[in-house]
Amino acid sequence: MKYSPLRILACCFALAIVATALAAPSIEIRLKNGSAWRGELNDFVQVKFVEQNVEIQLTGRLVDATKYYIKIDVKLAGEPATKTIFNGDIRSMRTVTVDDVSVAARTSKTTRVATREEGIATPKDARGVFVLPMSGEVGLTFRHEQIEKMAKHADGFGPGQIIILLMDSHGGGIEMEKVHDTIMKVKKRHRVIAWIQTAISAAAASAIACDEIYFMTDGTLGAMTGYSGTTALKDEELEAWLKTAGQWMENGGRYLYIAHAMIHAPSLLSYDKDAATGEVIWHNDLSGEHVLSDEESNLVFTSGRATDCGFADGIADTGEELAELLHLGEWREIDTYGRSVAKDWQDTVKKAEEEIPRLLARRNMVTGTPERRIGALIRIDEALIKWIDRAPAIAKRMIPASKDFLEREIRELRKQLADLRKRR
Amino acid sequence: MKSRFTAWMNVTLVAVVVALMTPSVGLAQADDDPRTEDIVYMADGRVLHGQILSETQAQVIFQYIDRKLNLQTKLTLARENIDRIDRDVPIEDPIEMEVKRPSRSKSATSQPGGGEWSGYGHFRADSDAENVPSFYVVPMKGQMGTDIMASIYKELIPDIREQDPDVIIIVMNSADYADTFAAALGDIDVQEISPPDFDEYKKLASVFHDDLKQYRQVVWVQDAVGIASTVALSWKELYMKPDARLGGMQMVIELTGANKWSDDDIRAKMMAAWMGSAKSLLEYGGYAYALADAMMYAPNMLSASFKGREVVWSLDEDGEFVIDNDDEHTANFRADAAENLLISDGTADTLDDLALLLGFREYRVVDAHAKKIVDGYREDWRAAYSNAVSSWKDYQQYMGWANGEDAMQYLSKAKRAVERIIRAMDRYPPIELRWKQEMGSTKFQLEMLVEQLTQRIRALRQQRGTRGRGGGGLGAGGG
Repeated sequence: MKYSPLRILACCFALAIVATALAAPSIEIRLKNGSAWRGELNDFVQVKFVEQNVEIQLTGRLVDATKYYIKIDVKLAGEPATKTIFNGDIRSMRTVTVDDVSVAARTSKTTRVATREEGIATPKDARGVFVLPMSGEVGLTFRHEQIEKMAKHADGFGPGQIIILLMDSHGGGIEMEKVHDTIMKVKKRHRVIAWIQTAISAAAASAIACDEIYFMTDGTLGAMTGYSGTTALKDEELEAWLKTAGQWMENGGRYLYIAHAMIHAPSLLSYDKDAATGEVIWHNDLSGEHVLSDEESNLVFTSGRATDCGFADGIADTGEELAELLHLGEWREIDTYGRSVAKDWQDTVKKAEEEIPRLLARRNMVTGTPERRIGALIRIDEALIKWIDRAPAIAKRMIPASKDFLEREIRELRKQLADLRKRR
Repeated sequence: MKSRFTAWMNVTLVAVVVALMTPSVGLAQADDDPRTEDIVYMADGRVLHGQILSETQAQVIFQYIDRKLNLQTKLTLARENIDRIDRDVPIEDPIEMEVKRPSRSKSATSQPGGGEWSGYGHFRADSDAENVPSFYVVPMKGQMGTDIMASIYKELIPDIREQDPDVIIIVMNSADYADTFAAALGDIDVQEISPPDFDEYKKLASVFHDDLKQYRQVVWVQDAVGIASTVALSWKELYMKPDARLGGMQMVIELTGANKWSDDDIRAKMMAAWMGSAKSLLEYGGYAYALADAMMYAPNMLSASFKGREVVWSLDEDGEFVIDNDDEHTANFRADAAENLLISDGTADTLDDLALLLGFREYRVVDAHAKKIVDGYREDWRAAYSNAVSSWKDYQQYMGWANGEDAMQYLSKAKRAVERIIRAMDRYPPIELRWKQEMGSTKFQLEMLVEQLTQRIRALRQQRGTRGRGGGGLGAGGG
């Protein structure tokens, strides 16, 4: 049986997602919006819930979880207390760090957290943000390494920093799994927000790990179908990807079947929205008033729909608008580290995309005396090796030879050159 | 429902026609007591202030008065559409309705001279007077993605900010094919079809909707066929010329190839991604997604129903008004249909008409650089492209002559010809795109061609040098 590179890629992709699908946390709390929180007792969690028509946000340690309610240890009016919250009242729930708990306790003496309309969900202390632009192909210019660098840099400013991933990508390869895992890790110590201009395919799969997603007016997100060549994932591979993507969707606090509608055309999705409360009820069929995906469609959100159904948290076209939605008081970027990291890598990739084809074309155009030709070939091979070291992902795609092959060829060419000189 | 819509449409159409035909000098003609007014409460929720001129069992002839705009219009209102009428209601704080008469004489006030009255109450002033509302006119003409690019319009931002207009008028005139019999038969220049580069069009939309969002903007469609129609729908305020088209996106999906995938899931993915890009532009304008669905994808039909004054679209032929029941063609709109279905806010033949519809009795067009920059770019790149094609023919000719003794001379000329093409591409990005489409080669390939020619020239030079030195030796020997 012959294995083409694409087939191998698809298999890797399938194996990777199957492996992810097998991992499962110990407690699962199903939320009313269809999403689920997974974690363990004693995890620190931030819970938004409704009590007497008031939306309240509490951060504390999860001490009990049953089918109907959870209990968390919190500080109420500065005093330690155990709060019981009915699962049906929970709007969202996410895991946070110990530092988030202390920040929450420090910044709010009252436990009542205003709704967005009332304004002060987070303190208006003009906190700054870090912005990491993630554009281009996933795995090439849109990489987990950039997020890791950004997070490490943000660590230097203490936990609980706001990292905004400014996404503009039409997708790419299986690197998305690393991106997802990296975001999940970084979320434990920082607030990671996706700001969407374009997040299609693998970029969408990356973005959904974020608890908070904001769209630009012309933003799009979706179309996560995995495919190899001209064939979409089928059977077990498809099942595995649906399961993984559903879990990723839930990791961001969203309804798992949204992921299915973004992957497999026959997956159905609709929702109802209560006109008075804005509460959204999801359906993985067409029974809802608003149909997002019928049996022939794939789902791509635009900003209006994404915010209407609560998939996205708001629409912002500028930093100032985003700052307002995040209740930051004003837009302030702490520094330009993330933008510099992204630009440096983008520049490198751009140069590689210009230089490598040029080197390969020159390889076939070498003329002159034998010494001249051999000398030119050695220089070209050396330049190609430099690119393999500098930008392995792109070099792997563009250079049809390995580093080892090129090094051996250089040795061979040097030998030929020496022989020529000897014969003279 | 249908009859209610028809009645409403009749009222609207009559109102528009009457509004356009009624001269402003008629403003003070109502002979009822000016201190009272009649108020008509329509079934669709509108509240009309004015004077009842006459009435029958079936209808009411009503002089509608808009005191803010200083306009009045005669309306024929069907009884069945009227909820109730309050008669002779005292006018609270009556505004003295000013009668402005046409004048060609100069004035230092808000009615500066030099402009022309066009006959129905608005006035294009030829003045810099600050109190006259200003329009900044931005032409958007030609092919999307080449003539119309975000980078060109970005150049206008400083000028627009300096002029600080009251309204930016985007005059959209971009059609993939002409409105002719020949085009209907398929005689279309494929090079002029706009490429489906939605990233570029999103950048273009962002220039206006993000960078210039503090300004009121209106798109005035003279023609929008192809991608241009999606871009036009990114503006909330849309007006059309009477003969304007909005649509013609049949080829967009074909060009993307999204519908050609045989695998159902991949086809659905690609379609959703491309359609999502188009719909994302409509988000700026607040139009229904169904419009993009039906205007881009032929199998989608389109019909509309009215719910009050709101249009409810459906991708089938079940609505009250069927726009497209043909699964082989996309939905398209002419100006009248677009207005009737509330896609367009009105139909304006001239800038004066548009000003009136926008509620300006007077306006001035600020002396801006937009036309020069935009039109200049379009003309320049197209001239440069023509020269580039000519240079390519030069190259081919020189290569044919590059033999024997003349080889060096003509190879050098051929190389210079190719370098001219590359320089043109560097200066005008549309040339690279058009070159690839029409000539089938890329800038990279041309650059490699230059390298090859350089090497051939170098090799020839070396050969000559060797021969020259050898020849000299022989000559010396012979002497």
